[in-house]
Amino acid sequence: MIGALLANSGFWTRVFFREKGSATYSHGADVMFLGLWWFSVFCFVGLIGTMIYFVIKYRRRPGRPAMISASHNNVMEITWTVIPTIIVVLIFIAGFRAYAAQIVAPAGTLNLDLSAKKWAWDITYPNGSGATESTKPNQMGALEVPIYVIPEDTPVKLTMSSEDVIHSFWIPDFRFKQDVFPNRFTTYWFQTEPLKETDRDNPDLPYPNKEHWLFCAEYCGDNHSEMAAIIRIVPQEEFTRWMSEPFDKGMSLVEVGSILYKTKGCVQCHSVDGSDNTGPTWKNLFGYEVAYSNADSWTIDENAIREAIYNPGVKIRQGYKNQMPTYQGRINDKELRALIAYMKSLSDKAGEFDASQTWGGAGQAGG
Amino acid sequence: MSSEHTHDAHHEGSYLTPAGGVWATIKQWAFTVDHKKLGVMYMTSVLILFFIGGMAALGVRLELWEPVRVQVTQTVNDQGETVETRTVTGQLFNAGKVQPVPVLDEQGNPVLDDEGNPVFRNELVKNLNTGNETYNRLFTLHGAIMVFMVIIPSIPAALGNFFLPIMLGAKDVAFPRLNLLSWYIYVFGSIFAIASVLAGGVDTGWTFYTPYSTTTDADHWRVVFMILGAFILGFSSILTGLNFIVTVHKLRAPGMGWFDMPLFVWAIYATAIIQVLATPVIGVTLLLLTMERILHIGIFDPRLGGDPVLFQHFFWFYSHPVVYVMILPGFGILSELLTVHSHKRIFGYRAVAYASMGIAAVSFIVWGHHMFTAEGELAAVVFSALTFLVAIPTGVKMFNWIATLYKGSIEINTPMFYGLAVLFLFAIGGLTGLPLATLATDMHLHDSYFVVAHFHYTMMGGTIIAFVGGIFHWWPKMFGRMYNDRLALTGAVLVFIGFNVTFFTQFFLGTQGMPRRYASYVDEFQTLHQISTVGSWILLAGFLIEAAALIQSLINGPKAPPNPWGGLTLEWTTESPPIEHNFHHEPIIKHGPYDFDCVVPPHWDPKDYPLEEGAAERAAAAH
Ligand code: HEM
Ligand SMILES: [Cu+2]
Ligand SMILES: [Cu+2]
Repeated sequence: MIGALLANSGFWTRVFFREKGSATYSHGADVMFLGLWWFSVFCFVGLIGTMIYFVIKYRRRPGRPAMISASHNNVMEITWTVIPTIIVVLIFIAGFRAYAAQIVAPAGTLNLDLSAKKWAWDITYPNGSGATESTKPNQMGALEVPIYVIPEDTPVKLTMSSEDVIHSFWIPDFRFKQDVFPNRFTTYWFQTEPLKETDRDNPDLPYPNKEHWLFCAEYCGDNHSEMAAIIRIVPQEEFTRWMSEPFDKGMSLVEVGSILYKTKGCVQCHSVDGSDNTGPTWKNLFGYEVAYSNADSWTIDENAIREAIYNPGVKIRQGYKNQMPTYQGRINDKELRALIAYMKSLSDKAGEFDASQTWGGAGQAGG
Repeated sequence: MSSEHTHDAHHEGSYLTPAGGVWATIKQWAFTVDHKKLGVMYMTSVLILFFIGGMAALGVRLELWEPVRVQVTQTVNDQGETVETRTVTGQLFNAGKVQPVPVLDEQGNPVLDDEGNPVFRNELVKNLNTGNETYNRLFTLHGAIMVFMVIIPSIPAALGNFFLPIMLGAKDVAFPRLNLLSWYIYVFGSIFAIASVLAGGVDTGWTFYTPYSTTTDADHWRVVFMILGAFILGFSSILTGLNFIVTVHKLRAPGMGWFDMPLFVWAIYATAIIQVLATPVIGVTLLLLTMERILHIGIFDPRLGGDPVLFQHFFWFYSHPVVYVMILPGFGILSELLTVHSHKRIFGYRAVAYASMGIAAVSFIVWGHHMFTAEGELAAVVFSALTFLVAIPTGVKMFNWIATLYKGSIEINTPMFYGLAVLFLFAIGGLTGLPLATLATDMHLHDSYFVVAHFHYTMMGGTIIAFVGGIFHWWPKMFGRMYNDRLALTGAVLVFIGFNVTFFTQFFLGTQGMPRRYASYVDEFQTLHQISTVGSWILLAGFLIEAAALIQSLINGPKAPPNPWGGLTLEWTTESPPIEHNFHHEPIIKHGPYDFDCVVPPHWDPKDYPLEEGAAERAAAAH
């Protein structure tokens, strides 16, 4: 029975990875890893087993000195140099081939833009939209993180760059990561297996059959461990539907704003309950007079918010550092309206404000 | 030492003989140029720093007992509005951050001054981000202390200083005053770096990756202090390395050829070469980093037109060779432990010595394997191929050590247990290097807990465990007293168990997707994290027992004979503890360091050590 368990690669896949890899190329890496695991077990047992055997067999006994044996043996030593050399060459070649599958994307991918910043992942789809849903708090760290929908069985390519420091885009279920830099683009491609029929029809089947964690693997400061997102694999039809109407037209602007607050990563630095953080709170912000360290104080209105989001370095709030990245090009006009509506809803000085305005009814068609 | 008379008095007494009163003794140590005293001083400082770094590590493990979560509670206030409050849970340590906060009146509106500007008050703010930052400072502190202040100087500066000259039959190192200077630089650098911690801490990680390190805490000097601390410590390494190279070349006793040197000396020699060649690179890199932070010269920070990956190249060009600065001395100790405690000639002496030099050479061309996910694909392929070259001499050494045990007379005491533990742990450390060197699998494992486990198996399992083993091996020689072997062995077994419980679990955390340097994690990882944390307590218990055994030995340990284990290298021919000038007469080398098959160890009764017929002739012929 133990033998069967040992030989069962499904068992070892679960021990090391919980589930088998979910991208088309993950299998290559998993096979490689498990191969190395068994090779290592073989070497370890051989070496340390021999050591323990010698230690027991030749333990010190009174009156018996060490015995004489050859001080070296050229044939043996050359053998145990040459054989490992051959083995590592083979390992290198196998590792190289599996790597090639990981980095070479096929033609005709769905292209997405990814921008990384402290401490959020921000993917923009061809329709101009970002994530339209976020997780509940507590799934990963303390905060809500965006959920990105990705069509099943489709090659996807992300073109990635960072707005501040280096981050690293890692989806453990795919077994691949790529660093994201502030001064050049890098790419990450993957294609998932088609969803299982049973998974497809089950609306709330969670991680890991349909959902995959995305982590930041390069240390990037305070909330590095909150820099996560979920990649949700959806059927093709659902993705097409989502692309044509990311947010439900009937949703209120305030509600959309509250979602964007989480999916765009504002939550990483701004609270909405009045508590202090890396950035000022949004509670009772709109309509209030605030002080700047490099400008006269000002009462927050729509334009002040617009400037703070698109040109955050221009005016720095008293008591805070110039830390916020610009969202120019990453938050469109309509999304900006939704965020402003959300901030108004958090303030008791918002003045005239129609909380029931809908996403469909706001401004020109945008995202 | 002005007159002939006092000189003689020194000559006879042990190096530990106090100079007189307390003050005189302090002066005697503070201005000593004696390599033995300096070795003891290094050992003490390294052990103190090991304790501080270890406490930080226990803090890190404790923080990871629970993931960081938030509790959302809704209450209704007087105005009938629902108010949401969020309380962060699972953050054990939260140092907070002093920040100007607007002063509010009873209605919650900002209080304004005469000119209508809001009034601010400095307050200690504690929230999710400051708690995470505290965690980040803790692991930075741990990493920086352990790498720069503990592992790098541990074996070479402490045990190397003490034993390298004695093993060569010399009175001291080539430049004794330089040696004293190195120690002061080391202490000064450590204080410099630790000052940054007292001032609030640094959160860059020991790797100082740009542009994070050039922008974090931009208006504070702490980061600069930490970087300069590492820079200063580098000088200490370079000077010690230079001293050792010259000592090995110039001060070998008459009759000692290169291949009569103990393998510990070979290892320290190879290490010294890497230190002298590689440390200036990190020195320049750290200086550039400081200039980038203060003067914004635009070399690493992309906002100023620099390239952050360039920093990684510079950093690893030093830091990969440095992992061999860390492990080669451990290998050296291992060769001594295994031969002396099994009374067995090392198998393939030359292969082991050449493998040390081979590793030192190859270590300079593999740095890119730390950057597979950062560098271009072609570079990744080339560096992966080159990295596998390191595995070969490493494997060869493993085979040689195990073959050494064959037909030996193996005594299981504390030092030997540590030696065998190093073989066990380093086998795991080395083998887990394979999936990291393999491109396809490193894409998954890089910067995960798998890497954390790998380098603890190599650096702690290899270097620290060997260092502790070396302390127990040479303790009777250094202080002239034996320790309670039963007690020390118990501690050693706990250390071994605790180590594996702590770090073996981390391999699984890594493959399952746990990134490194995370203060929090998804629920699935909690069990493994908790096992690992419990392991860290076992480890602590083990080390405390070891400390107790050594302290007890200092207080009332039985007097040590000159050669308690039956070693053949020169340190075992002199007294325990050695006299001020190491030897009464300059030793002359008549046999090799591992000729256990034909020489009765000094101070051992030939009756207890029956040699086979014709052994003496063989010894003469072999030499
Ligand atoms: C057979 C021998 C070894 C091989 C093939 C090997 C391979 C590797 C590789 C490829 C990495 C990079 C992993 C990554 O970041 O993705 C790595 C990391 C590391 N290795 Fe090894 N290694 C070996 C032995 C050692 C030894 C002897 C030491 C030290 C005593 C060591 C210390 C480290 C350290 C400190 C890191 C990580 C540094 C960091 O990112 O903070 N390794 N090793
Ligand atoms: Cu990060
Ligand atoms: Cu390396």
